[in-house]
Amino acid sequence: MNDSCLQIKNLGKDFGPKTALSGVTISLEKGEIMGLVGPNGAGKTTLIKLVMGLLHPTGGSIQIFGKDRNMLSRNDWRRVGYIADEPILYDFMTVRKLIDFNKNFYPRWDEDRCRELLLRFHLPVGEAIKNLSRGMKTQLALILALAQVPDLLILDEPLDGLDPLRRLEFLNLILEDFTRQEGRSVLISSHYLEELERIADRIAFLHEGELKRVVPMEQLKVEEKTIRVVFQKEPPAALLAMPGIKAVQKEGKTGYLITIEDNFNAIYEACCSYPHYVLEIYHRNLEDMFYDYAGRDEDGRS
Amino acid sequence: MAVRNIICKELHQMRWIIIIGLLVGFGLAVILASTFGYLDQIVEEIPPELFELLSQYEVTRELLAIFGDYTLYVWSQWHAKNLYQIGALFAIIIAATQFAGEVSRRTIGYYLTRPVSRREGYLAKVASGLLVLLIIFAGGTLMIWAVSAITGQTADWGRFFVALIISLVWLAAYYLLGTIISILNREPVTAGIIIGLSGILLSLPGMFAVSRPFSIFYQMRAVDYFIYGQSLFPPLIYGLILNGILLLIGLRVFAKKDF
Amino acid sequence: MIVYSINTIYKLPGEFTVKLFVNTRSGVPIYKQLVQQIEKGVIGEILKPGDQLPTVREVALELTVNPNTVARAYRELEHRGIIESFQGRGTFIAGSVRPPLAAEKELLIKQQLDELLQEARQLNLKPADLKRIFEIALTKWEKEV
Repeated sequence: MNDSCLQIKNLGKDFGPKTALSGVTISLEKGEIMGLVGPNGAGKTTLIKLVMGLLHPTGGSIQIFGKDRNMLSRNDWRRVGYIADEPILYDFMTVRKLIDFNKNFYPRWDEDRCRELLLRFHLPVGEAIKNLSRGMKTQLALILALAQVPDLLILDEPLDGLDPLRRLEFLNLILEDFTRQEGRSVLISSHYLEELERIADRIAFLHEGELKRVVPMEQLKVEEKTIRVVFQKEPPAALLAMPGIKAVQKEGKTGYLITIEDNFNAIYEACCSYPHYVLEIYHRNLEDMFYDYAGRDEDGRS
Repeated sequence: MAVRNIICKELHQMRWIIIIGLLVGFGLAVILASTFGYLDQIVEEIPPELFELLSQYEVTRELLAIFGDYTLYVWSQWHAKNLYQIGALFAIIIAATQFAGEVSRRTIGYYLTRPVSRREGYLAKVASGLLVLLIIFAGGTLMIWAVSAITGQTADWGRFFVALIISLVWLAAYYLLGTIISILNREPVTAGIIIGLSGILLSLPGMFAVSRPFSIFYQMRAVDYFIYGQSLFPPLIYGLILNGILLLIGLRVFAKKDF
Repeated sequence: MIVYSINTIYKLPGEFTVKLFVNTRSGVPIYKQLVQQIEKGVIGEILKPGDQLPTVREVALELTVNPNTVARAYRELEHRGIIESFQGRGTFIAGSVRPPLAAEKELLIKQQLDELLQEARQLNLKPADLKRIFEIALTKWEKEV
């Protein structure tokens, strides 16, 4: 498992009596893009802040590049790029000044790339940061993070405040950098599920401080389905208890809405093999799964 | 070097504090140095009856001594008044802005995620804050010296500067206390008020003759050294030790804080 | 159902154009969509043997999708013998395109027909209606061709 650049084990964080995060274990592999998804208050920002050292964990451990995060050297930290939710930068500085300030922390700084991106985004270098729009600040934060040439990029809700075109542009830029060199990894939390679906290798679902599920993107598409079936007669109970079935909802006398998270083909075949009037497949996407977890009670899982 | 980079940014961020501080310092210095001559005159012109009335108060003798002695006068106005009053005010403002201010402006997240340890992050800010205080008071002090030279007034500059060092060491202690309070607050105004209040608390020992030396502001006036002619080492060393303790506490508080 | 897709007309080095879609709303994984589209391009003879495909990176950036996804699509296509990749030179449509193309074409249509029939059943259409609708459409189609 030395190929993971970020390893979180049993991470917990309490704020007084309130538990923001508990028992989170997750691993980000080298060369992977992972999406972090969950409703507001699920603990996504808390998790990221714990990794970045803004918060101190109540329990558990965090390893970055194979070392405990408290043992990382300054050079190790230089390999980590970060964009906070709502990137607030020093308002009193100009764009150029902030870049120069930031540059001094990173010997690997790619000034050419920085300039190229400034041009691409048409960011006015002499402008005071307080005069930039929200979208431009996000772009600037991204430039700062990318020009740093990080091996691990951590983004906390970076797409907020960007219009759809800029969102895609933003992601494209991340992909550009991601593909420039092997072994770069990205952890990105976002509400923009459709955008995440495009670029993530795996998605981690967080809800009420707990990691509910980590699923590879492909599995999401291939296995996560809902079948609506109306049988001619009551089917055997074994069918509805097949592995991979997440939930079953009765509709009418012999109708069922079956939510599947794995083993789709076998379940589908099984449904086909019993006489039925209706057999429909609904493809579930990230949004559906999100509502699943976000709208669920604590003991709703079967 | 990362720390130097931060210090530059802090100084740039506090540029208005520096400018205003220097202006205030210069202004006070000029007033101080140039009005001595007039006070001298005023004292000479006090009618004898009034003088007798005033001499009932022990204070009068000291007052006259001050008005007669430029060195004493300068001390009374600079170390014993402006420095610790204005100094304390600036220390509060700087400490509150540097930590609580950065939190309330939400830039602390950016600051702490640079590849710089919490330790360095704290020390860089403290160094900047102390530097600003030093600049302001060095500026003012130089101005006093300059105006004095112009007006031809002499003073025992040796003692003056030694006393200044003692004063600044104790001012630094107040500033460091301020940083600790600032770290624990999310709003610079709240932090400032609390630092101010604790300043008032700390000045309470100064109300009673017995406990006076325990007042941080008493020490800032460098009284023992300057007035009573005692050795400079005790206040200096105690001051430095206190600074050391506060620094260690500050480092720890900053390192452990969740932001 | 909302359909959201990004259409890209991709101009490859050389002469031909291939329209590559990515539909995140679809139940089909993105890599599979890419496989299907390139496959259709070959079957429909828009893509000819020897035509060069863009690199994984180029496609990923053009469509804003994870390059691993594109790589997976390319692997699958290679596995099926539809494309070939040469170290240092690039990826090309395979020289020997498998016969019979006709069978593959029919398979595609058949799949679509199955879906159509499924839908018709849900709408409770009778075979006679279906036949009528189809015949009208076929007549129209023949006229256009």
